[in-house]
Amino acid sequence: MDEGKRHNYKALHRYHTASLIEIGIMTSNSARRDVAPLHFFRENFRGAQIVLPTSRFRGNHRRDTFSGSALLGLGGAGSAIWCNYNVAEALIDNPVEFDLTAQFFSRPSRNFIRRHFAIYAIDQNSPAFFVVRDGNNRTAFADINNIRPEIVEMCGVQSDA
Amino acid sequence: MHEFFMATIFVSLGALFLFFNYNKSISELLVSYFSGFAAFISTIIISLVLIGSINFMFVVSLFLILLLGNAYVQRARLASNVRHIPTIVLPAIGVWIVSLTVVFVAREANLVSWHSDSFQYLRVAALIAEDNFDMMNRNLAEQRMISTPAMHFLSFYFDEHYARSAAPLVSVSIISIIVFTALFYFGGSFLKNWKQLIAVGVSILFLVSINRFVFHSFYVNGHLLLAACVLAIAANVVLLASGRSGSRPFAYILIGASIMVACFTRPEGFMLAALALGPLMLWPGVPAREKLLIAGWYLICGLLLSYFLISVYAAGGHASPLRNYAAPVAGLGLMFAALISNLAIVKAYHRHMLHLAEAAVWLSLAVLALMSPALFWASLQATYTNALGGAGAWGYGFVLLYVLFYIFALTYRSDDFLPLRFAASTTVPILFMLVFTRTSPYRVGDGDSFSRMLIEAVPLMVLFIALAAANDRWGLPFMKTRKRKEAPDRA
Repeated sequence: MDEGKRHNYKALHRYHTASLIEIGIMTSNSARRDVAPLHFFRENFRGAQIVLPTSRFRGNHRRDTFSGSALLGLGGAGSAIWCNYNVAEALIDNPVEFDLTAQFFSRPSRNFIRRHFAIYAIDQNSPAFFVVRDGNNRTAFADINNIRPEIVEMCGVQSDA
Repeated sequence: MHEFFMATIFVSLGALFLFFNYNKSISELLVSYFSGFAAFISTIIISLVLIGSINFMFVVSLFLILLLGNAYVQRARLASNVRHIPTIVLPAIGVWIVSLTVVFVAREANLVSWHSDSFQYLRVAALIAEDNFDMMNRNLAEQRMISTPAMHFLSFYFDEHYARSAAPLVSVSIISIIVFTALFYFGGSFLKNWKQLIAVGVSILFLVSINRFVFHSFYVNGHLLLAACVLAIAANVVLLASGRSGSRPFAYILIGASIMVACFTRPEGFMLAALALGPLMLWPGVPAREKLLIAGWYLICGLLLSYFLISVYAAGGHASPLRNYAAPVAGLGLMFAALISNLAIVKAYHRHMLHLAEAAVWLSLAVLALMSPALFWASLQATYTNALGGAGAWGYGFVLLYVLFYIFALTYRSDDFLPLRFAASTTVPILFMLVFTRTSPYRVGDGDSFSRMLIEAVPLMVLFIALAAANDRWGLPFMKTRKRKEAPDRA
């Protein structure tokens, strides 16, 4: 089976898995862009708090990929708060990127997702994440260890959130 | 396991409805899965709209109210119905086994159809499962609504993202509704009359041979669910209007649950439900009390839909557009039709009124086309390429079906299927008119929304052709035929 090819409009196509999320990420750029970030957050940080900017920000994703409804739904976030911060200036210098290597399903999906999205976290125990823009112009989730302390404080996020 | 469990619950509910409303036939068991399923989705919708979450006690209470209410209404017959339990239970076990088989095959087959919209439905399903339904935004509320996510949300409790058997079971339900309608319409003659058997059998084979029907049978979206609901309404309207339904209360339960599910499946759902229900409101011979009851229920569903949409707009600090009030207005229209249906002029001209309404739909399309010719022509060209040129993956299936439908619609000489003809013939132009609510025309490709919406009209046309082809009341269009004594269809 050509796993990199889309078969989603065929009347019948038997996939190697029943997981629609995995099928989407393996074969569709739109799913890699708009579903993969939510899937990775759900798989690794389910229940964590998410901090979103109050002002809209432009990215390569659908406008509502990094929205409360997306993150509290498919993203599996435990709660969401909104705070007035600049997504492009929230990351610390030299943030630690979370290794998603084993979770990409396929090489094309890995390459695409890495160009558009990242997670910055020390480990899977991070209690709260900010939506940020990194130096490579990727939209990312960053845990509070990778966010400037003054922004964490301004938004009132606790380290045991 | 949850899909097996839910299929068991749905079939059991349908069998319970049949037990309460038993009327000399067990053919309703064919739609027992769909009636239980639609009733379940309806309670989920009511819970989410009224209290904003799935409250177990609330859902159970709604079910108890429904079941006890049904038992109370039929209290005079319950004692006699008890002796029919063995008659109901054994075939119900057969339906249950078939349902479980579909679940098993669907879970093992890894067959799924999807596109980017599918993930939007799963997003809402996840919001329901995570108890964050209050985070619904305007786009999700208006476009994705509740019914389709409600089919899938339980899967999130089991680390899955969608119910693999949900769409296949809806597909099987459509076939069941067609057979159920034929069984009641033709009565005892159906299984003995080769012409009727062939007409219905070939129609079903034609349906399952349509590429897009197979596609939608595994598609994570709401098109086929809406098609099933509209078919369930229209089929029961034909049976009620022609006086050939089995148990009338059972028919109204199925219609009622289907109206609720249709209203919350897709933005066009309430319109298609009203088109399928409308002829019943004008039909002479159907008791006014029944018409008002079902029109009132439609109005309640419409009010719930409006309340839901307005609430989501208000939560985001937005003023609600006028279109969010359209469903209750349609409900009031149905109530009005039910109220005037006893007038002599309506009784005499109800057929003409339906023809006029059908003409008005096409005329509205023509007026809108004249007002936005560029949008109309671009959409028409795209639709031609999709439906006939192969871009929509319809093959020649839809065009052949559409031509056959109009041949039968113009030559068939009986009023019995007029409600079904009305629903089927008005659905396509109504769906096409939705392009005038957008700024961009329909596009070439199998992902085009009109190309996908066409499936919502297909089962109606297939049922019409199946029923009409099995009869022999023919004549040339617009020509009066000599009245002749017709043999009753029932044996």
